[in-house]
Amino acid sequence: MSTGELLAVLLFLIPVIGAAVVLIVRRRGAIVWTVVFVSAILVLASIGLLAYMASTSFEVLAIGSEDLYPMGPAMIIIGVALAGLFIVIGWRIRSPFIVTVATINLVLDLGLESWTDFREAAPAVLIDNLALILILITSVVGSIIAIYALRYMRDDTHQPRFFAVTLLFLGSMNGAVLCNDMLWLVLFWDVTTLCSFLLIGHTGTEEAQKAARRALGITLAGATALIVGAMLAFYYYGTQSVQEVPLAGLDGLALMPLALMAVAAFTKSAQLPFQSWLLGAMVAPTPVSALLHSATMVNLGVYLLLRLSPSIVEATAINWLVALVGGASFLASSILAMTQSNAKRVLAWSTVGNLGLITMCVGVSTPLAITAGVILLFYHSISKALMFLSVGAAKESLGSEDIEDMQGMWVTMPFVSAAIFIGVVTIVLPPFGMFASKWIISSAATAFPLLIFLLGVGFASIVVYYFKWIGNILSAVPARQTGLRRDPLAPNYKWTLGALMVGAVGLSALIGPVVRFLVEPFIERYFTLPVGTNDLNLFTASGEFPVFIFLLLTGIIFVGLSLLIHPGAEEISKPYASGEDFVFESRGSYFFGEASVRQGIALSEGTGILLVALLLAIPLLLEVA
Amino acid sequence: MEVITYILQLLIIILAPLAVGLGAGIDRKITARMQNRLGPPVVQPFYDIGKLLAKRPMLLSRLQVVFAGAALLFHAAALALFVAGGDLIVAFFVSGTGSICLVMGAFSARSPYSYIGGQRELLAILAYEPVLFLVVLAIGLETSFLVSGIGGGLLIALPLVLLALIPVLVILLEKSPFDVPTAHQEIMSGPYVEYSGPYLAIMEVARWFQLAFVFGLVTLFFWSADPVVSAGGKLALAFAVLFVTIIIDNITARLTRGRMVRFMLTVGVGLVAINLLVLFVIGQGAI
Repeated sequence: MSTGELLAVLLFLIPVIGAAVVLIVRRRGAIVWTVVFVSAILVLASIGLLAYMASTSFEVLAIGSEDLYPMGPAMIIIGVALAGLFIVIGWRIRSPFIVTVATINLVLDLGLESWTDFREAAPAVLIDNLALILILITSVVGSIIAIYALRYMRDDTHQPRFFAVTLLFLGSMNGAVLCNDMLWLVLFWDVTTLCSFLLIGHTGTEEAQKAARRALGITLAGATALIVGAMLAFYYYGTQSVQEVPLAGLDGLALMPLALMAVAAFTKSAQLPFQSWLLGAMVAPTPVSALLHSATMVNLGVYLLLRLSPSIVEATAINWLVALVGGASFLASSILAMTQSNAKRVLAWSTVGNLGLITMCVGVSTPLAITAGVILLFYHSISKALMFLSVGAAKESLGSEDIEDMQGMWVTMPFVSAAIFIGVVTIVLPPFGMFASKWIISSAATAFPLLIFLLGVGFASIVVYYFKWIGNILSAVPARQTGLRRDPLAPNYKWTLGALMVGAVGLSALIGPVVRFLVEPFIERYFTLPVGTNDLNLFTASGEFPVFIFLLLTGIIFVGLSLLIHPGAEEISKPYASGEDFVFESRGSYFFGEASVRQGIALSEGTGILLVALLLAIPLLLEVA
Repeated sequence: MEVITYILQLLIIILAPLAVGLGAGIDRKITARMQNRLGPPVVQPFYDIGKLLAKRPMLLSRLQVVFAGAALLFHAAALALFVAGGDLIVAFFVSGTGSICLVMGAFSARSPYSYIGGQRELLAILAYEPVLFLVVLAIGLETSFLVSGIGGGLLIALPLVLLALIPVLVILLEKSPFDVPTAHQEIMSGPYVEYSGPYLAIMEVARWFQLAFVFGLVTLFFWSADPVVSAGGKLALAFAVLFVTIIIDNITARLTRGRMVRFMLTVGVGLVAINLLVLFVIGQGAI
């Protein structure tokens, strides 16, 4: 076994062992050490894997199932046990829907296994740059979130269960992106479903359990689509290897596997009309939201889409529908986010929107668009983790996650405010990583001009909802400001938030190398390279973006100006109020009432259902025609 | 030769905002004449800036001034990128960053009028940014995203897109019916209310840079191989657009913020859509 293979196995195995250890030892001190140890290993192993891949000039690393002996039979047993567990869970929570879906999944799974002679696809495990990006996100961002959770969940009564599931989540996520065998993918897909169900329902309140049930129902139904997709893939393509899905020449019902897997991806990535589970999941503790939104879960759906993108690109009969589902999710979520005053809900809609952009990129089907999608996936996870963890830290002090309650937080909690500010700026503004992908998307979308209208309105809405929030934080009477270092924030939070802040800004500065070493090797396998870089600038065929100069400029502007400006006390005046004297209470505007928001959601879901139905109908229609 | 180009570009970057200042003076003169007044001298905007700079600086919070400076520098960077022939999409977003800095400056002052002004400015961004974005993408779709690669023919290909720029400029020039964010009679010039003296001068110059960029987009619609004809035509087109906004200003009264957003997202976006649709149909017909 080579170093790379060993690291890959570690990335999956260590968190699972860690989860078992946590469940066995159960003492708080031991849990802390286990989580820190597993996190350290994950970070080191993922970076080691990157270094190893770089040393072999990013050759695709394939591991056959025979090298992983006795993984093959074990996987089948685990798969059956898991499907059985879902049936039991469905029974316990008295949900006929979940029992039915879980039973169907079990039957289909066993049917497919026996149909394929219980053989694994070769290679069973495949590591390329797309998998590497996902592994880095899960292992590094996920570890930071796990360490943050050590502090956030310190008074929780079910800590062993919480941390065991969290570690299992990270391990299964790494497992899922490593698998090339569709059946193994389904298995890990189901493990992430189970983990999200347990974590969302962790607090045990009525609302949390309802949200957990909903998440379980939707993602299990998505797994059904995935399994049926895998069966049809075996029937039409004669393979269970994701790698070997034909790149061209698909027509009629042979498109169905792609359509079904895209639908499965929509459920996991909370695209319209399946977004409701992610919104409901907001009742979970903040680290769970951060995990679901940035390090695990939702990434898996768009990962599958990107993985299949070379095939989807050629499937011109259906790829425009994928683009429309993504575009509709982006537009609807951006508008709906403007109507929310709960910070976590705003972030949830924003996640739906950003994943919508990635979905759209796959649908637009140009090399340029797919490059933009991969870049967005990478930078989104860092910034979104930063946002969620900041909201959690703010909630601990404020006792609320409502944006209106964060008024003037700049003065009382400057560290958290700076974290939110950097999070928003790296999400929205140039010249940071997510902006670079938005820039590429803008020019890529001209291949499909209808989309530029969705983009235009969506981008402006994003500015409104994020900067309304930032405006609230900044809106303070500047007297008795706490210093940045004297912010009464737990050291754990300072370090985790600080690491993410440095990561978000630093990796934006390094976007040239990131594109060259992480993104391009994947794109290059299937397409001609659409984006060039000389490490300081990015180029496309139709434009260029001097990233580094602008980043430097932005840094100089803000740091320079805040160093330069030191007003004396005599220069400070009082706000103008037409000569009146009153205490100023502000209240932001959220534009639409609850009834209109409900209508908006219903309308977007209706559009989503229509698009998904069309996506599944077109292969049938083509076959008949 | 290259050095001369650089010097010329630098000159344009400096002169363009000054031209906008002069345009503001002409605007006041024309408006005054339309209302049967004499009006201030054409160079009054420059006198105003001079006077503001000479005043004692007063402020509410440090952040407010940081954002004012940032707004100026981002708008200037956008214009510089535009003049240097850079990427239009990047220039558009950098200019947008400048507008956001204006909003942040308004919020960080924590004063009632300023706060309302900031909220309204956000709505103005929601109204004009999509249209401006579509204008930029339509130009790129027709020719190139690099300003240096854009040749002639835009006016003939995209007349409705130019028309869509007019309401955008009405908002940016703070003119009726869309002078919603600054509405002097209601909220005392909104986001600017807490700026005074030299800091107000910074904000004013920042606005000139922003307008120079958007008027720059207008000038792209005229192009000729002869540099003199090209420059004259560009100036004439920019002035014609300015004149239209002045007339609109003088014959309308302020509308509500909701009407502003709805108008821009239907009529403004619609104009670009119709233009692109017509081009698409013609393109299909030619094949």
